[in-house]
Parts: sequence; C-alpha cells; structure tokens
Amino acid sequence: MKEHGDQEILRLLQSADTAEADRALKYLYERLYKMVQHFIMTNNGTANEVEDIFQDGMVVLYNQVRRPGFTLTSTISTYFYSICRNLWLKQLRKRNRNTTLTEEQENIPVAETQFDVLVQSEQAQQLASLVAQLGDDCQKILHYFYYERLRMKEIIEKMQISSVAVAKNKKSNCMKQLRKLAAGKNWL
Amino acid sequence: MEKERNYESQIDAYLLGELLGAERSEFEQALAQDPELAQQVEEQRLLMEGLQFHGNEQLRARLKNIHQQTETTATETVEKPSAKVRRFPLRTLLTAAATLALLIIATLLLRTGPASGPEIFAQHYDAYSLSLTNRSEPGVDENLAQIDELYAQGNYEAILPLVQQVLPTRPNDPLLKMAGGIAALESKQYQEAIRYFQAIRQEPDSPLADQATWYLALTHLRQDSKNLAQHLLETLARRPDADRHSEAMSVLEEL
Repeated sequence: MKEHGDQEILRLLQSADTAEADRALKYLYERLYKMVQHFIMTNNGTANEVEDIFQDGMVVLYNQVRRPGFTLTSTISTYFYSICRNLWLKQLRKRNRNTTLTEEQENIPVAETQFDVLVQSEQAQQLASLVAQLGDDCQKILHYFYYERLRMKEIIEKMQISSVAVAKNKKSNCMKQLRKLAAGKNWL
Repeated sequence: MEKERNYESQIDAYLLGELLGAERSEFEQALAQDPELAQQVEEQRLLMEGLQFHGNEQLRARLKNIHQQTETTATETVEKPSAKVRRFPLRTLLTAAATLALLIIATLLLRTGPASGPEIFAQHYDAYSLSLTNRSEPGVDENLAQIDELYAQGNYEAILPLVQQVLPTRPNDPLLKMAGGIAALESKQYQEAIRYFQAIRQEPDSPLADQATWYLALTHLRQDSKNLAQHLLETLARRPDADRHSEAMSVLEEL
C-alpha cells in the first residue's frame, strides 16, 4: 500500500459516516487477510484462528485510529501486521507453545495498552447487556460518543439534534439511566 | 450542579485519555484526595467498559458481514515442515542445544518487563489479621464471634452477609468494615471491597485509615488499575509514619 493510499484509508476509517468506515474495513480485509493468514498458519494456527485474530486485530485498529490525535508511524499494513502478531504471540504463550516465530514481515512495537479495548471481563459483558436495554436514542448517543469517538458536532448532525447543549444533556441523562440500571443490579 | 457537570466532562476526558499535561495531573491530585470522586471515576470506568464491550459486539457484526462479502476464499496452501524422522549429526545437535539455551535465556530476559497489576497484587497481598471479639468490651456479640471464626477459616464469602447484618448496629466500627472489605476482596467482589475501604478512609481520625488505603490500592491493582493504585500508594509513601509505608514504597518501585 502506498503512502497516499494509507492516508485515504485512514481518513475513511476515522469517518463519522459508517458506510465510509465500512468501505475502508472491506478494503483492508481484501488487502491484508492473506498476509495474516500466511503468518498464523505458518506458526501453528488454524483457519478459524486466522479469522478470530484478524477480527480482533481489526477491532484494535479501528479503536486506535479513531482516538483523537492518532498518528500512523508506519504503513497501515505494517501496523496491522504488528497488532495481529502480538495477538497471536499472546495465544501461543497462553498455550505454553514455543514462541519463536517464522515470519517474513517487518513489525513495529505496539504498546500493551492498545489491547485494552478488547475487554472480556464478565462485568463488562453484564454491563453491555444493560446498554442494550436502553432506548434506541440513548444507545446511539452513548455509542457514538464513547465508542465511535465522534465529536458532539458530528453527533447532532447524525442524530438531528438541535444543539450541542441538548446533545450533552441527553448523553448525560442516558449515562445516568445506565448507571441506575447497573446500581439496581448491584453491578457497580 | 455546575460543579457536578464540570466534573462529569472532566471524568469523561480523563477516562478517554483526552486530559493532558497539567490538567491531567491536577485531576489526578484531586482523585487521590477525594474518595468520593475516585469512586465516581471508578464507576464511570466500569460503565465505559460495558459500552466498549457493547460497541465491540456491534463492530464485530459489521466485520463479519464485511468478511462474508469479500469471501477471500482462503485456499492458500501453507507448507508445514514435514515431520520425517531424520538422523542428526552430533554437531547439529550441539548447535541446536546452544540455540535452545539462548532461547531460554532470551525468554527469561523478556519476562522481566513491568509486572501487571494482578501480579504485583499477588506478591504483596496478605489478608489483614483481625479479631472482632478480642476487644475489651463487655459481652460478646455472637455474630462477631462467628465472623471471627469464618475469617480464621478463610470462609470469606459467608462473612459478607453477616457483616451487612451487623453493620447497622455498629456503624462506626472500622474493624468490622475492614473484615467486610477483605472478605469482599477475597470473594472477588471488588466494588464491594472498594466501598468498605473507602468508608473506613472517610471516617475522621480512623485508626485504620492507612490500612484501608493500602488495601484499596491493592484492590485497584488486582483490577489492573495501576494509576488509581499509584496515587493511593503515594499518599502512604509520602508519610514515613504511615502504616504500610515501606510496603507502599516497594510497590511503587515495581510500578
């Protein structure tokens, strides 16, 4: 992938428009799947594991690039390969396998904290089930703000809310509802 | 109300990693000094983890869809090293042994990175040794005696309902709250533990305040919230006469 192409992909991945972001994700699936597949299968993995790692990798990539101030320090391809490589190493370590890798790609260091987005705790899962109990608008506004990391200005446009102040209020109230649900279940 | 709203956006910014520089350290300072705020931040962090989990599920559904569309008919054949039995000359064997030794050393060296919160927790945690009945009080509350017994047996889960039952009759008993906190921590009910330890810290002149700070920090470590733990430990490390002072210092070093 060329430098120019990368910047374009990055812009799409960061877009407030879901269809645009999806287009970039599709492009990455087409461009990068074989690379990750080759890496994992030459290092004791199966086809199913390729799918899992690739998906986890995409979740990490998507979350990282949408943080304000994200800058690419290599090509997207190298960055994504490095994420998947780390994820696969973790798998191998979990199984106490030999972790000397056979690999042909160069990789860059990826900070451990970048993987925090893959939350798996039971508590998070329980709380997520409460999010699904909120009204549609509440789910949307919280998802856009906390997950998609959209700015309030983008949110009011997407949700056709009259002003930023109204949106802030709404977000705050939705969060209160969620907190209340969680407190009622004693999950906090 | 104004203050509350102000905190709300600061908490968001802090947890989303958007509070930087002086603003961040100022906020962290406030966190270390205000248990109520710390509790609020911790709750918000948990809710955001729930939102993260929920959002991941939605993104995964999108990704699955996209993957099906692309159908990268994964037919790439991968050569696996053949598993034929071969005879190795001695020199190859020796080289292999040397390589293996190097690998082991490299692995050991790699493992000495910073320890995770739960690892540090495991190294430093010891249940507080306490007795609720061994005090110069006339008469012995049966419930307290039972808590003591369960505590000695390490039957922590059974202690929690008892503590809740007795607490209304002894609302100012820090030792009872300590028993509740340790029992909750041992039963992996971390939020409950945090509530007990913070209740002890909020009491004026509590003799167990430092101990509660220590266990609160450990509870955060157990959940890998290193930042929150660090600020608490620093308050102990700053006062040489604090209980758990030297232990706090050594955990801070590891952090």
